[in-house]
Formats: sequence, C-alpha cells, structure tokens
Amino acid sequence: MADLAAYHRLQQFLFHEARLMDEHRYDDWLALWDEDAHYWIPCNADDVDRSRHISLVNEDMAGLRMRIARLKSRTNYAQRPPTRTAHVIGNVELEGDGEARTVIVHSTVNITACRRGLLQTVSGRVRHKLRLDQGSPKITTKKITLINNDEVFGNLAFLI
Amino acid sequence: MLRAAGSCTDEPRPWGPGRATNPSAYATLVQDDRVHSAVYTDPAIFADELSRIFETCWIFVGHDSEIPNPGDFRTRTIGRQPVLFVRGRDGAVRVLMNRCTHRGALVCVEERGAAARFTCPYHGWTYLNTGELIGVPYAERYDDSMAKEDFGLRPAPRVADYRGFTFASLAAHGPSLDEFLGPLAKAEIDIAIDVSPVGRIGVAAGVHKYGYNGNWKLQSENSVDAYHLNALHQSFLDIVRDQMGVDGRAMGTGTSPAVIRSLGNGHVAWDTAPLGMELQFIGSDAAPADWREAYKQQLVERHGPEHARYLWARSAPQVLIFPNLVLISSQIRMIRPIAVDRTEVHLMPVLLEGVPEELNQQRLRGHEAFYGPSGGGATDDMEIFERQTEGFRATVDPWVYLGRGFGRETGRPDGSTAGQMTDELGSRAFLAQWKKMMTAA
Repeated sequence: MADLAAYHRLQQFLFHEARLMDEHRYDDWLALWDEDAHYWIPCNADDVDRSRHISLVNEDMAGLRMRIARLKSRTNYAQRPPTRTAHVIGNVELEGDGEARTVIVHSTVNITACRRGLLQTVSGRVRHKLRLDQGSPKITTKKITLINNDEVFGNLAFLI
Repeated sequence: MLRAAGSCTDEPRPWGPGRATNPSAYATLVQDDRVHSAVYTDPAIFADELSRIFETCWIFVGHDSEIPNPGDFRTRTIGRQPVLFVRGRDGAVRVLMNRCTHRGALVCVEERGAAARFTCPYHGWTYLNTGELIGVPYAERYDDSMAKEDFGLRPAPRVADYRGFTFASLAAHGPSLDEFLGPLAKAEIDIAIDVSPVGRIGVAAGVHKYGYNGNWKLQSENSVDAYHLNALHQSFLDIVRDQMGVDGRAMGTGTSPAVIRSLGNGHVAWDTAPLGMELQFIGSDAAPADWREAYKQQLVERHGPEHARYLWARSAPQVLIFPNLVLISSQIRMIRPIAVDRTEVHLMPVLLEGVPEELNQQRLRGHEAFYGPSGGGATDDMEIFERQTEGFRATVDPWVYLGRGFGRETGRPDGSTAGQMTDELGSRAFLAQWKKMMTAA
C-alpha cells in the first residue's frame, strides 16, 4: 500500500505541474524546480551529447528563469497572446519505490496547443527525476522526448 | 499541425491577371525605396522565382564537414527540387538529383545518413553513392538501346565549393561561383573558418528546423535587418540585461557605429567590429575566463595581431548570401521556399576545431538561448513574418517602405556600399538583385 500511496502522490504532482503550465502560473511552476535543476528537450534524436549537439531546450535554473521572465514579458510577441494549452499526462510509471530520496517518474504527455487560429499537437515521453526530501517533491531533471523532435516546428515558445 | 498553405491564392492582383509572368512587371513592383507586397504574396510570382532565381543562382547545399566519410549523405533542396549531397565511394562530393531516373520517385527519404547504394523501392533500380546505376531487375526485357550508364542519378548541372561550402546551380551556364560570391562575400565565409585557429570547422551539431506561414524573402531580409533588433527582440534584450548584466542594445540604435554593407550580387553583411565588442555570443561578456585569453593568443599566432584583432572583434560572419543562405552568430542558416506563404528554415550550428572547449559550448548554448523553435529570439521573428503576411492582405496601400537611410549610402574602396547599421540598405540591395534576376532576358 505504501507503493500505491507514493504512486498517487507523484501522479498528483505531475497533474499539478501540468495544471500550472496550462493556467500560465509561471512563478508557481518555477517554484517546483530544485535549484540545481535541468530541463531538457533533445533535438533531432532522442538522446544526444549536449556538449556536441544542440537541443530544443537545454536549461539550468538561470536559463529557466530567463524563459519564465520572457513568458511574463509584455513584449514577448511570440506569446502575445499566449498559447493556450491542455496537457494530458498518462502512462505514469515509477522507477523505484517512491520512498527513497529521489525517484524517477516516467509519463507520456499529449499537449494540444492553440494560438491565433492554429491548433497543434505536441506529444512525447517525459522522464522526471524528483527530489522527495523537502516536503513537496522538487523537479531535479525533466527530459521530454518529443515524437517529432526531428521535424519542422512552429512556435514552441510555450511551456511543455 | 499547421494551417494549410496557399491561403493567398484568392487575392486580387492589383496589376491584373497574367502580368506576373511578364518580367517588366517586376520593375514596377520593386522600386528604389519600396516594394509592392504582392512580391511576398502572389503565387505566380513565387512560381516565377523558383525558375528565375532558385534554378538559376548558385544555391548553398552543404558543408563538406557534414559528410566526412564515403557514403555520408544529406538530403537537401535547391528551391523545391530534392537533391542528395553525398560523398561517393571515390571520395568525391556530389550533388545528385534525388529522383529515380525510371519513374521519378525519391531514391532517399532520410535527411541524413550513410549508404553504399540507394535503391528505389518502386521497381528496385539501384544506384551507387556515386550516382551510377548498377541494378535493374529483370533487365532482359529492355532491349540493347537501354544502357545503364545512361540512367545514372542526374547530377546538378554545376557544383562548386569555396572552402568546403558547397553550392550547386541548376543552370548549365552562368557566372562561376567565384564571380557570384565575389571577394567580399568570400571574405565573410573566410571569417567563419578563420575563427578556428586551425582553419577547420565542423558542421555536425544538429539542426533546428522551424516553419512559418509567410514568404521566404521575409526571413532573408530579416537576417540582415538591424533596425528590428531593439524593438522586436525587446523582451530578450531586457532579460539579458536584467539577469546577466549585458546590454545588447548598442548594436541596433540609430547612432550605432556598426555598419551594414551591400557586397554586390544581392549579398549583404554587417560589420560590428566598430562596436569594440569581443566574442559576441550571448552571455559571453558575463564571465570572462582564462580560455578567452588562450584563444586570443591562438588567433594571433595564426593570423598575426591585426587580423586576429579583427576576427576577435567580429567573432563570427554576419552575412546574407543571395538568395537564401545566412551565416550569422555560430550558425549556417538555410531558408527553404515551400509555397508563396510557407517557408522552412534550417539552422545548423558550426563548431570550431582547435579552440578551447568553452568557446564551442558558448556557441551552442548561446544558439539555443536565442535561436530555434523554443528560443528567446527566433520565435519573435517567426511571429512577425506571419503578422506581415496577414497584414499584406490589406491592399489599399500595398507598399512596403524601405526608405531608411536611402540616399545616404557611401561607397567604399573595396567596392561595397555602406550605411549605418539600422539602414534598410540590406533589403534594398537584396531586392535590387531580385529584380535584376526576375527581369533578366
């Protein structure tokens, strides 16, 4: 039953994170991250050597703070008006028992995004590494493997 | 994922039907200080551009470091024509039309890879990576007049390279690549390579690909428009200033000492050396480090103090090579025309050989911060191209005004024409070449 409780708690965390993104609660979303966090969306392939290959998003907390500052800026024209999103999180799977200091949570995300008459779908697998020793979970790493990471993109300036 | 392209086809043409293919019409659409927005929206003009520009000009296909080994290939386009950029088993770099000589299907649908041979899946015709046809199933039903050597993959009529930058032309005749680039555009390509202290670059760090619903020329012109930097990219510049303590606005003001130059043949470059900045990659000024001095010394040893200082001040080429190649910051940018109102852009970061590792990291990380479909700058550019395309539907006054700095250009001893950084000299020079090619006999 401990497993089930941990699973429920971590699944709720992913749902909560998704809702903060969908509701454009940028500061609340940022507060979910650990100070030495890393946010990664590889480009062209599911795994690349970041020191030799570009990513779509490859950010530590300083980079994430810049991303959030830009999302909040009134002159961020790529997000004025902002993209409306609906994140659907599924296939949640825990690696480990949820009782350790950190846990890996795998999930699948399907995002329907709408902006200025354009409806698009962004979809992929997500791997969260969460830190559990600070009360509520903190995101240590989040990697999103988009199914279309080698395709031509429109504006991906919203949170994924 | 995307809105259907072609939404402009029902627009009225202000000059009447049929005239778009009459070359003399272009002379009125592009004037010295303004351009008619039909140039960006009319499907007939787009079709004409594909033949008069993309199938005539030298078009960048790839850098030879992308295909270092025999069999390595990239699929690319010249205009909308699919080609294979491939190193054959004989070591030679070729540009081959990606079209089976039998029934016309693509012989390769992958964007990158390595292959000893290419087999068309339709009837099984098989070609070596040199283009030679080696396999025709059940050949006994062809008579002797069908010779395999006549049915190799067709090479682009002309292929040439400058320091590994490979260009192809679908026209059998015309100016050589050397004449087309001229010494000034070649000098910009030189910067891309000479900032490596061993004179070698590697184009193998992946590719950002984004698309927008607008004309390809909007991206070409934007690539050398400094007037937009402090307005359109205000949010990015604000945040870099607030969070990193770097003010990037000096380059794009009306009193900036930086210069925009027309290099001839529609090529346009920025020269930011007069700004006195160093290593202008995002964040580079925030954390001075020993490796910068080491790199500076490497450049001095390779090029001597004076040229090293210039390379240090420039740190990267900043050039539009007509019609659709841009070298800027750490990237090679290829602009692909898809439809009159649909464009795809490929950005390939360039890594330098023989430099401190920190510099390459800075080139990649700086690129990710600003460029690409999730970047803090390119997304605003994509947005404005679509807003322009929507705005162009208002045709009470169909003109786009490009008069900034018009008549205030100065000639330079090297043959270039220079203006203040924010002058719209870039668009004017680009469109003058466009008009020249569109009206050529």
